[in-house]
Amino acid sequence: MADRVFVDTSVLLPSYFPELESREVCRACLERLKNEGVELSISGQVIREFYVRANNPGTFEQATVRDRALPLEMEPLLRIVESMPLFFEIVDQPHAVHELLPQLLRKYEVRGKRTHDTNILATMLVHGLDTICSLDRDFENFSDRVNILSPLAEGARKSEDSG
Amino acid sequence: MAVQPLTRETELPSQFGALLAETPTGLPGRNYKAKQMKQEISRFEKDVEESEQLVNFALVGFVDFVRDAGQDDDAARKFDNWTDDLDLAQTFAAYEEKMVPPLRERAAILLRVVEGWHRMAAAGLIEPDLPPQLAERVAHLDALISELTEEVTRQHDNDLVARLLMRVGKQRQLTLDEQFRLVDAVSLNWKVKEEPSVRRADWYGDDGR
Repeated sequence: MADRVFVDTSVLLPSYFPELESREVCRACLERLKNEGVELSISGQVIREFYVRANNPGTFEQATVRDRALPLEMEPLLRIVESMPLFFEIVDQPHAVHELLPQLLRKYEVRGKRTHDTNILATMLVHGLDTICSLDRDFENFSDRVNILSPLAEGARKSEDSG
Repeated sequence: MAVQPLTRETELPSQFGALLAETPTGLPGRNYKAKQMKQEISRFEKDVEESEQLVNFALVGFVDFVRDAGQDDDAARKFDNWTDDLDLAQTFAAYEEKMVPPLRERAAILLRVVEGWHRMAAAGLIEPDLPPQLAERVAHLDALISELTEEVTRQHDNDLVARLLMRVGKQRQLTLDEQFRLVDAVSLNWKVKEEPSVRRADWYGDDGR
């Protein structure tokens, strides 16, 4: 097992929202990794995506007053963001990431929205990370460069073992 | 169930007992009793409404205060001074003591009024149906009290734990247990409207935003 694992937004979000479906498997996966002494890393991109997703009124129900929806609370979300460096290693995006990105886009012939996945890959490689904990199967396209650790697959294996 | 006849000896909630005792010629008349009951209900409804507003106001204000203290040094200093003046645990206790029990007490009185109403009605002294507004108020209040009591306790715990661990975390590495406790303390039980896609490609628009 790698001694450092990159945690993707798809796993980060349910880790802080118990009502989301994949919360249990994501939390169990992070707990297992931490207990095994694995360092968990996230990047600025992941933090920004987390905040955007958590703020999305399509994801969470908003409180209403006289049938008018109130905006989702900002402070509790910011508190989560502020607490992240105490749980995760935050890796930055040095110039080397910008240099590597076009090479990866060329290699994997990436166009459109998957550029954002490729930026995650570039960040990981620059920081020497070769394993990503993610629910997003699109990372399988980069399986020659990174290992994908899926909390769902891990959860399923665990159920089979205990069954 | 047989209807219990209402007599001077019938055990009634205290405020009705007092009403009966004040009446020199035995049971009060139908109209007199109904008028008294309506006045009582109206008074209690007003009290309850004021209490709810007070509790909501204090709850929001207090939670904001704790939150602010986590935001900047000046607010944190004020928070520290405040907690030095009055022990934090005591303050929380006082807060709960001051705000929640009066609401609970008023609700209990209101419920006794309702019970009294039903008994009077069963004895044929007043109209049998509980006014719809009152029935609604009772159900709402009951739910509000259990929700508030639970929320106040949970919110206190989580705010305090999060604030404390974030402060400790600036001075030393948190232990694994503390790290997980922090994640739990800041986690949000927001109800899910729609499960978000796990694909990053679904989160961005064509313009990259």
